[in-house]
Amino acid sequence: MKEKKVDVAIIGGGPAGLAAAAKLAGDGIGNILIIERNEWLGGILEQCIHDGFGLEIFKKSLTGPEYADYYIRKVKKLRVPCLLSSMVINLSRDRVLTVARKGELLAVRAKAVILAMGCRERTRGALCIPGTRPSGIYTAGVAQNLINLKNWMVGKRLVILGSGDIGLIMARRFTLEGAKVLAVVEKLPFASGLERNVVQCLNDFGIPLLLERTVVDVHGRARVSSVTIAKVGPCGRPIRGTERKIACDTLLISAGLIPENELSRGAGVILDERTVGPLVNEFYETSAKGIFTCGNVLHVHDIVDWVSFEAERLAFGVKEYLKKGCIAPSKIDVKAGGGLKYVLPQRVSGARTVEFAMRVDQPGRNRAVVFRDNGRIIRRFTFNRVSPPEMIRAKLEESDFKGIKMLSVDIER
Amino acid sequence: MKKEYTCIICPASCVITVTSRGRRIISLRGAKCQKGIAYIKGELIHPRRVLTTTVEVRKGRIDLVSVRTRSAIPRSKLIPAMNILARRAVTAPVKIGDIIVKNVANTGVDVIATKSVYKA
Ligand SMILES: Cc1cc2nc3c(=O)[nH]c(=O)nc-3n(C[C@H](O)[C@H](O)[C@H](O)COP(=O)(O)OP(=O)(O)OC[C@H]3O[C@@H](n4cnc5c(N)ncnc54)[C@H](O)[C@@H]3O)c2cc1C
Ligand code: SF4
Repeated sequence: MKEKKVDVAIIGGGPAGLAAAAKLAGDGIGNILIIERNEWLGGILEQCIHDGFGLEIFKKSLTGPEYADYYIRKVKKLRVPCLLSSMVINLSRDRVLTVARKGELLAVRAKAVILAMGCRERTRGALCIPGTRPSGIYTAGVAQNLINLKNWMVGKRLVILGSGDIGLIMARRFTLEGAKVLAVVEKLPFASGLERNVVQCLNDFGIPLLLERTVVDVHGRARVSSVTIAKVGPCGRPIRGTERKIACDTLLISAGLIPENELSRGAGVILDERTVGPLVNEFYETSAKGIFTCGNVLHVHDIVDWVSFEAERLAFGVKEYLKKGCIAPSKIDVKAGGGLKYVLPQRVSGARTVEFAMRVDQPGRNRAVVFRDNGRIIRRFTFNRVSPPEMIRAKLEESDFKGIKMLSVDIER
Repeated sequence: MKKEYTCIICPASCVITVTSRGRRIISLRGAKCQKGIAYIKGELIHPRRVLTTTVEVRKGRIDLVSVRTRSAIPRSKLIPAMNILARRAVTAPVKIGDIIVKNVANTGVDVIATKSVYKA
């Protein structure tokens, strides 16, 4: 096997990997390598042709490819080497990557590794929908890839299960391409995508959003011919007698994203049950020394700008690590309490200012995020409105950490 | 009349409460910034949207180029613009920002490429 030595190996050339590379190279770190399995850089953004990206960083609404282009140009200008059409198939705890590339294997030894593999979609299998297994069932992201990169219409009469952003955006996309979207079916009492997508993608076109309902059966032999939907009760189970059949030729599933952590697991990186991504400290270092992570592989982001910011903070950690050979130990545990799905980073040193990212488990108005040390309130942050699809952020200053042993965060009504 | 709108300009998704009499706006509450106010005023009179889609590319490394209207066009022009773009094809190379269709559907707005496509 051919071998290569680098200071920093970045797995994934999406917005997370690109922003980390640009920051590191811009700050003078020389020997970086981006490894990307696609033939192109940009990650998922290349298929996200809709606009709404970059409002925080560029103060204007860019499309996915335009946003990616900015970082691709930056990385090219800084001459960061990229291995395209190259897939990392293994990562060891001592940071040796095995890369499959054009029919050969390559070993890459890295002082620091950045996991930036993004996420994948939950599939029908992960949701356990009964019924036949005809063709015509796609995840929303696959349908997006087919229509936007290959001009391939997956169907003419669609039902979309799940109201995540990708599903909403696909509802509009297929409607504009001449298909009929019959309904978006959502189990929860609220849409799981951003409100603006509900307005722009469904309301604009009169597409019904059926809340507290789910698909209970799929019919058809060779191809989907209809689906049965039913109301769900408070415990999430379908209610008998509420079934209704909808004739359609395609079912799109937009049931959320899961961080893509096979490689991380292989390297012995400890994952957080709540985020399904690695546990990290404020430097974005995982439980494995020298292995860092950011972007959708760490936790699923709704807004790409936060991914870029996160990658820049990570770059600071990587530089510290390269300079000192290790990261200062982080001894303060951070626990997500009532009302929160998760908080990140899960561990902090207490020696510097930290920006926390959180997700609530329920929508609400006028809520406070409260940071406590053993019951003592350290800081409260108030938010006009919170909702599960939108990440919230809050910063604690260095001085806030004085004398703290354990940090807990919860939502106060 | 009182109605709640959700501002779709940015992900803050402010809920803006509008009290109006006919087309006259009496009060506007809940917008965190001026853009939201301008949006609601427009939304009440004639809503506008940015259109994004793809256009066929000949002799390119990939077969499609993603495109957008440079700015928002009237919502009623989305389908007419789609019909024009469905028939349009361009030849590689295409550079990001290139004009693909000028003044699409007489909106006064150009359609531009949002990625570069190199020659095959
Ligand atoms: C459909 C959809 C719509 C979205 N809409 C919006 C929006 O409107 N506005 C907004 O701000 N944000 C939006 N987002 C969010 C934003 O796009 C993501 O948060 C962002 O792309 C995450 O970046 P990433 O680099 O972590 O992951 P990705 O973009 O997924 O990049 C990961 C990269 O890693 C590569 N990779 C994975 N495994 C390997 C391996 N083993 N070896 C080599 N390479 C590998 C992949 O090929 C990919 O290129 C959307 C996301 C999706 C999926
Ligand atoms: S009012 Fe301003 S801050 Fe609020 S959603 Fe609209 S643009 Fe964003």
